[in-house]
Amino acid sequence: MGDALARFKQLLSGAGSNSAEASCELLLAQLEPALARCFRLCAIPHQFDTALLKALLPESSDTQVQGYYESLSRLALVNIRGDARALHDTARSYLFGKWLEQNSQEFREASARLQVFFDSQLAGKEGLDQIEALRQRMFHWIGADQPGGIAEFERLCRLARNANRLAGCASAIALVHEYDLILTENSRGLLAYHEAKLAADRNDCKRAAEILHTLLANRSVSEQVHMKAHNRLGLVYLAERQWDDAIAALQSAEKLAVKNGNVPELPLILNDMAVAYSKKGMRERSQALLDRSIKMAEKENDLLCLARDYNTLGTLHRSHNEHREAIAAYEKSLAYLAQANDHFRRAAVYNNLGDEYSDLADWTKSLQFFELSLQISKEAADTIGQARTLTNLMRVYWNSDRPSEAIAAGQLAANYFETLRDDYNAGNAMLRLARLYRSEKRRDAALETYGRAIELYQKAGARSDAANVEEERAALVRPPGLPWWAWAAIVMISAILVIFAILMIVVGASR
Amino acid sequence: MTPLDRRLTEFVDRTAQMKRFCQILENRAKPIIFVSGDGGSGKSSLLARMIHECSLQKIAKTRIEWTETRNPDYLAIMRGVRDDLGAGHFSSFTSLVNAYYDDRVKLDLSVNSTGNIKVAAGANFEGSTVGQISGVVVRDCMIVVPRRDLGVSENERMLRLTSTFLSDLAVLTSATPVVTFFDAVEKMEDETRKWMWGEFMAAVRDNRIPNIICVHCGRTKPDVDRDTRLAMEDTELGPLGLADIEEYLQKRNVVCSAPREMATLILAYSKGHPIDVASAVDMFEQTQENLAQKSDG
Repeated sequence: MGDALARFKQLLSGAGSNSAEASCELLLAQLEPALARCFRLCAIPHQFDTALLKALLPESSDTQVQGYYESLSRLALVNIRGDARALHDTARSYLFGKWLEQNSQEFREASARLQVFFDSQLAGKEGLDQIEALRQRMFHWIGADQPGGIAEFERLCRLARNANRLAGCASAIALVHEYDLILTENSRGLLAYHEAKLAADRNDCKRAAEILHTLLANRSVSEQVHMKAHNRLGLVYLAERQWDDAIAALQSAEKLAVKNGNVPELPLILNDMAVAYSKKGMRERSQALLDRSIKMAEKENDLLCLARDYNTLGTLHRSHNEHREAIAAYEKSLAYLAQANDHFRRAAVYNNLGDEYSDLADWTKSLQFFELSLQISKEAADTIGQARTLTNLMRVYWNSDRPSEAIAAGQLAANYFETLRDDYNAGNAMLRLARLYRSEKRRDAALETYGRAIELYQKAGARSDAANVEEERAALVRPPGLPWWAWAAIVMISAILVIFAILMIVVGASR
Repeated sequence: MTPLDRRLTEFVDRTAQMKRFCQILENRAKPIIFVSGDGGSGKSSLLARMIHECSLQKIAKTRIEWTETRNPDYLAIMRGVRDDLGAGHFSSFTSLVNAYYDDRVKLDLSVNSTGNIKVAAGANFEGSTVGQISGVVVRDCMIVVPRRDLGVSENERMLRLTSTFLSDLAVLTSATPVVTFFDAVEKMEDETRKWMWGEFMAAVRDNRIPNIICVHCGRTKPDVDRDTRLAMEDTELGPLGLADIEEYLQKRNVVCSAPREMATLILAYSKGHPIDVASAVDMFEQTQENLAQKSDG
């Protein structure tokens, strides 16, 4: 035993430090070579069981595989995850880094076998198990064939994004980053594009813009990716209300789209640019872009794009008080949505039409369209959509001499917004409701509702809105104008002046 | 003996942490426990020991773990908790999940005037009628892509599913205590972390779910507000001492002529970091085996 301790002492002193790398190498040096190889291979997947070990070591028998599995399970650097095992994070990270440094044939072949293994695991799996198997297949696909694996990564990202699972996109991105050491410039660009999209989806516009600018400086990625990056950057700037930057980015996207043969994204790029120009007040430019977008969408028979173009056109006309043209455009948008069998998007267009007729004080038509919008939002269980329409309906009911319905709509809208923690819009609905109470001369209800609006604005961090409502509320508590003593003084002074004037007249007449 | 059982028997030190955990199980002084420490500091071992303690005390428990490839989001966490604690207690939640994800289900998803959700109105479940939903186990369709015929925003879906899940959980925990374990939480995605602390733990902190203790294990402590900090027990795992290493050598039945010398050697090498201590012992055992094979050969 003394020999073992002496040898052990010698080993430790030779190690120099107790870093994860040193610990790992020391242990591997002590293991039987076949088991050490198995340990190194186990750093390629994130976890393993006997079935996966068989895929990693196709030349080994079942008994050998079972033996390796049991021997590995006894090591402290191997974690127990239910029925599976995983190398400890530090050990795996070190050994996986080694595989990437070498990027050997052995690594690529092992990755290919694992890709096939997880492909076979997909059958019969559903839910989270299926997602996990897909991610693992994608991960090893990159190790075996980078372009193919990255294409699969993009597909998984899109799937997760369409299902509103941003955490799913983030997980896929983190997995691809494990390959940073060997990613080609093109793969890096594609990865960066999806990271930027994720940041934009998380409303982190600053980070999204940073990543996109870095991506645009990468000349190794294709023009198609650059076009997408410019387009995304334009959308980020639109969200930030930076119209000039948005226009510049979208123009670059347009140039590349035209150069690459009018890609399918072009009509949408033109539509976004039209929105930016409209916001900047450049009406002709906006309309010209919409006309171009409409022509292209007509050529491709892209019904949804046409519906979007006409909706944007309607809003453009509305902002210039061209009511007839606005209504015609919205109606065209509705017709295209009907052709495309898109029921739910019609709610937004009905809402716009309701607004338009409100501007024209045609309360009957306005009510008709808002009610249609409300009906669709209800069918779609879209509570926020219902809350927005109910807020608009308050004005219509009020002007149609239906005050109790206006108040009920306002209460429901505020309640929906509050339930969904949209405190700012709940505050807006409460404020409108308070004004209705005030007009109805229901002072106590108005005061209480103003108070709720202030609370909601404060909760939403909208201090200036809260302060404005505070002033409005104070005016109701203390009516505007001079205090009673000032009025008394004015009356007294006026009386004195009148008496003085009369006296002067009397004195003048007596002379 | 399974590898997990073996590791449980080799568990050393962390006496203070286990004692405090048992106290909290008894007096429920704090509903949230956060175990923090570097990778390899023994968090998962401590968690395994705590889970074992719950088994011994016959306390209902659930465990969710994050890995690089399995990264549960808010819905997966709620589904996991439900499946561990018994789907029968979460019928309202499951019905709402099905309503959002399975387009074969026709349910009334309207929000009533107090902000609660009417889930079951109009629903038709096998062997049950509407109004008796709490007594029926509803089967989850386990679909992860929301249905396309609804216009429900992700925020609304999250809030309403969470609210229903928490109501179901509160009914369960008011009858029986529950401990939830969350392991490797540093691997959780940002959205999930926000939900965990902003929704789930906020309800636990505010005692909206009675009789629950939530144990989190992670490398870094979360940045939480003052109220949550007050409701949270912080446990930071430090290095092992010489006595702990000696005890560990004993528990692993390491045969050595000079155990004190060996423990000192390991302490100097590992600086008491548990994973390095255990790994050094593995190395020593392997050295012994290699020497034995050499002398045999």
